[in-house]
Amino acid sequence: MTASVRFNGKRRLALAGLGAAALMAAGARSARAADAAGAVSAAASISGSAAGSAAAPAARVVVLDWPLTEVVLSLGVVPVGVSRPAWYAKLDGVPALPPSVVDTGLLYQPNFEVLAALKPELIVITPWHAPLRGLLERIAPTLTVQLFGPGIDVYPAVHAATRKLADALGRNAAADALFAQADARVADASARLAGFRAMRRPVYLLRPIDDRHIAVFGRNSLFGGVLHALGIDNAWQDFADPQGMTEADLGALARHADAQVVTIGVPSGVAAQLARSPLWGALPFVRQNRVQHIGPLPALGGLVASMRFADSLAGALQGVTQ
Amino acid sequence: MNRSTATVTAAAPRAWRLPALLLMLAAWLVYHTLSARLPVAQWPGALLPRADATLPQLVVRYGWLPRFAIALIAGAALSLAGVVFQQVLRNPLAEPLTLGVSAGAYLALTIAAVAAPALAVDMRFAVALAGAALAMFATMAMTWRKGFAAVSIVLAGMIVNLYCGALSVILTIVFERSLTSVFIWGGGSLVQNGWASVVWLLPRVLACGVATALLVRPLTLFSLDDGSASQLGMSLKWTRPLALGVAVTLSAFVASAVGVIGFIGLGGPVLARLMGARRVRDQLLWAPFVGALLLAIADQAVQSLPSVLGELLPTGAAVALCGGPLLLWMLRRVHIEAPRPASAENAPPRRALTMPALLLGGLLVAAVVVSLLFSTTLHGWQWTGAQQWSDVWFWRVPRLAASLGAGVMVALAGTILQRVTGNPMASPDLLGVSGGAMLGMLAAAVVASAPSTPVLLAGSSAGALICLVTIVALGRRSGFAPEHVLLAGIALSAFSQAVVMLATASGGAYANLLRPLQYGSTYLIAPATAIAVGACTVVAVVVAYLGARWLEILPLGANVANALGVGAQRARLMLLALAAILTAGATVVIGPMSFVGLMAPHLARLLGFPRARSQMLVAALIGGLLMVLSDWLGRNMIFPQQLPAGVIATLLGGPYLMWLLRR
Repeated sequence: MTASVRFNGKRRLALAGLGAAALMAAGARSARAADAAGAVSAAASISGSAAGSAAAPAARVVVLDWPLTEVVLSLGVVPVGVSRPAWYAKLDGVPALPPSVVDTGLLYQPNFEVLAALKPELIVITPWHAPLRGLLERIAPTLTVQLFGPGIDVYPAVHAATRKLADALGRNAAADALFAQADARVADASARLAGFRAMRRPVYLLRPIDDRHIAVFGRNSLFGGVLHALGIDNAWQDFADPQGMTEADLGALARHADAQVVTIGVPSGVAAQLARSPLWGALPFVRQNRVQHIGPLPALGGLVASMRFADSLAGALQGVTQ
Repeated sequence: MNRSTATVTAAAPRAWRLPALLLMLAAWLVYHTLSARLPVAQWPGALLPRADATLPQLVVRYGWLPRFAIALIAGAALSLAGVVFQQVLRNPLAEPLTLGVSAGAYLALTIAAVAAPALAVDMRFAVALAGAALAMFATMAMTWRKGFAAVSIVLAGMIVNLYCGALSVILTIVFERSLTSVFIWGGGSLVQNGWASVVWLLPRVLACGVATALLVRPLTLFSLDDGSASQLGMSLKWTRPLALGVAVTLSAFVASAVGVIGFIGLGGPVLARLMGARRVRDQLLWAPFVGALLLAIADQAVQSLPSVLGELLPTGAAVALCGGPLLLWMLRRVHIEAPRPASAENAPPRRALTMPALLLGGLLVAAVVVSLLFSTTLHGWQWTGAQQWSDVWFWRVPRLAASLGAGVMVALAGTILQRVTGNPMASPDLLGVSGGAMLGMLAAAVVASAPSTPVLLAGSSAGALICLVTIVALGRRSGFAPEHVLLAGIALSAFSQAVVMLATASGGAYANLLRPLQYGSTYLIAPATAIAVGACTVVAVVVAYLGARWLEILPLGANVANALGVGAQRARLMLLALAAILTAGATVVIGPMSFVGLMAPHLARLLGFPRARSQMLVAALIGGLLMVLSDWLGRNMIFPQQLPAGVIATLLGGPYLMWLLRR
C-alpha cells in the first residue's frame, strides 16, 4: 500500500509543483485499493438492514468521532448527533459544527438512550468502538471507518475514509469536489515551498506538551503524510504510535542537527518555559533560529485539516531560504 | 532489643551482598547508557562546565546528568518517607502513596490543567505541593480526635486517596484532551532538560533528611505499642503527626518535582530490612541508599531500552514493572513478624440485625425502582411511562442487575479479605485479582485489532484466573500468612497497574478504551452478562454464608482455629479462593472498584455488626445499594455523559465514612 505512495529523493525533486497533486491522487487510489483488499477496516460494510441504504442515502447521521465529524461535515452533511460537540471545537475542528447538533455523550461511552431517541439512519464509528457495535446496531445500521491503526498511514487512510463516507452518504459529487480542492491546495503549497525544498532540509513537526516533554509527529501521521506529499523529509524517522505521534525528550531531537523545526499549537506558557531551558537553547535549530510556529491544528482530521496544515506550513516555511 | 540485635548479627555475613550487587548493576547501566551517548574520552567535557562543549556533551550535561541526579534524590527521598510511614503506622504496606499525598497532588494538577492551564505550567511545583498538603491535612483532620491512632490514619489515608482518585477520574473523563501533560506526570517521568528540578529538590530533601535524623529516638519507640511507648515518656499525640508531617512533606516534594512514582517507598525499606537493617536507625540509613539505587537502576534501564519502549515508558511505570516481580521473588525469603498490636479502636455497640437489615432492604428496593423509572432524557427529568418502557428497558435493566450483583460480590469479597487477613487495608484490588483482570482485558484489546465484548470478557477472566493461581501458589509457601498474601497481591497489583499505566500514558485508542473500564463502568452489559452476574451473586451469597463460621474463628489465630477443629490453612485457602472468584466476577463486568470492597465491610462494622454473618449481610446490602445508586447517578448526573459507577460510589460513600471516622 505504501510502496506507491513513498517515493525516493530524486523523484521527489522532480515532482515539485503540480506533480505533487497527481501523486496525491495516486496515493489516494492505492490506499483505497488496499482498503478494499481487506485491511483491518474491511469489516466496515454497512451492516444488517442497511443493505438498501446505499441506494437511499442516510439523512440522519450520528458520528462518534471528531475527525470523522470533520469528514462528514466537509461532505456537506450535518450530523444529528456527535460525541461531545464542544470537544470538536476545542480540537480546532473546521468546518464549524452547528449548535443544533445533539450531544451524544462521551466518545467511547455514548448514551444509548439519547442515540435511540435521535432515531438515526446511520451511525459512524471507528474500529475502537468495536465493543459497542452490537449494541449500536440495535439502534441503527453502523459503519466503521478507520483513520488510524497499527501499520496504517493516516494520510492515505483519510482519502479512503472520505470516499467510503461519501459512498455511504450518497455525496460522491461533493467528495470529488473536495478531492480536487485538496489536490489544488497541496499543489499550491508545494509551489510556495519550492525554495525551501531545494535546500533538502528535513523538518521536525513538534507539539510541546510541557517544558520537559515534546510530542513529535512521525511519518505515519496526517501531518507527516502531507509533508511527504510536499516533498519534504520528516526529520523524525523513528517509531510513532498509530495516530502518528510519540513523545520525545529534547536530547533525542539533537540527532538531526541540521533540521528545521515547525511547532504546531504551543500551549500558553510553555514557549516561555522552553526558552528558559538550557537544553532547548543548546539545540542547533534553536541556536540558529530555525524554529517556526504555526497555530493550533487537529492532529487527526480529514482533507480539510490536511489543507489547513499545507497552507500553514507553506506560510511558515516559504520565507525560509537558508 | 536483644532479639533484634541477634537478628542483625545473624544476617550480617550476607548484608553487604545486596547493596554491592545493586551498586555494580547501577554502575554498569550508567556506563552503558552514557557511553551510548558520548565516547568515554569526551566525558570530562560534559561534566565540567566548559564553554566549548559539543552538542552531545551539552545533551549529557543538561539532559542525562540531571536525570541521573534526580533519580537518586527522588529514590532516596521516597524510600526514607516509606521507612517513616511504616514505622509510625506500624503497617508494612504503608508508603507515600497510601496517605493520599500523591493523589492529592495529582488532583490539584488536574484541576489546574483544566481551570487555569497557564498556572499549571508556570507553577507546577506550587500547585502540586498545595494539593499534597491539603490531602495530608484532610487525613490529619479525620484522625485528630482519635489521637492519630495508627489504624485510623491508614484508613483515612486510603479514603483521601480514593476520593482524590475518583475526582481526578471524573475530570479525566470529561476533559481528557487537555490533560496530556498531567497523564505524563501521573506516569512518573524523570526526563530533565536542565538542572532546575535538581536544584529545587536537593536542598528540600536534605532538610527533611535532617529532620528525620532528629526524630530517630521517638521513631524507634514506635516499635512498641501505644501504651508502652507512652509509658516510656513519648507523647504520641505530637510525635506521630510530626514524623508523619516530615514524611508527607518529603513525598510531596518528590511528587511535585517528578510525579507519581510508586513502589520505591515500599520496596526500598523492604529490601533494606532484607539486607539485615532491623533497627530503625539502620533502616533510616540504608533504605534511602537502596531506594536511590533502585530508582536510578530502573531509570537507566528505561533509557537503555530501544527507542520504541524507552521513549514511551514513564520511569514510574517502569519501577512498578520491575518492582512488582522483584518483590514477589523476595517474598519467598522475607520473614514478616506477626502484626504488632495496633491500638484497639473503640468498637461500636452491637445491634440486633433485623431492623437495619429490613431498612436497608427497603432502601435497596426503592433505589431499584427509582433507578429504572426516573431519569434524564433529551427533554429533561422524566418518569418513564409504560409506553416508553419498551424502548428503554433494554438499556437500563441489565446494567442495574449487573451493578447490584457486582456491588454485593465485591462487598462480600472485601469482608472476607479483611477478616482473613486482619488488615483494614485489605480490599479486592489489593489481592491483585482486579489488576490481573485489567491486564487480561488489555492483552485482549491489543491482540484483537477490533476488540469485541466477548473477547474482552474472555481476556479479563483469563487474567483474573492467572493472578488467582499465582497468589494461591505464593500463599501456599507461607502457609497463607495474611501479610504474605497481601504483599503478593500488592506486588501483582503494582505490576498490572504499571502495564495499564504504560498503555494509557502512551496515549492512543487503547487508552481511551481502557480508562473507563479501569474505574468500573456498568456500561457494556448485555442481558446474558447480567443474568450470569446475577447467578454468580446468588451462588456467592450462599457459599459465603456457609463459610461464616470460619470467618468468625480465623481472626482468633491459627492455634485457636486448629483447637476448634478448623484446619486454619485449608480454611484460609478456601476463603481466599472464594474472595478471588468474587472479585474476578465483579471486575470482569464493572472494573476494579476499590471503594465498595474496601468500605462496605467498614461501614457494616461501624454500624455495629462485627460478627461475620451479620457483617457480611449488612456489607452486601450496602454494597448493592451503593452500586445501584451510583449507576443511576452515573447515568443521569451530567447527562448525556455517563460516569463510571465505581467512581460515583467513591464520591457517595467517602464523606459518610469520613464523618463516621471523625465521630
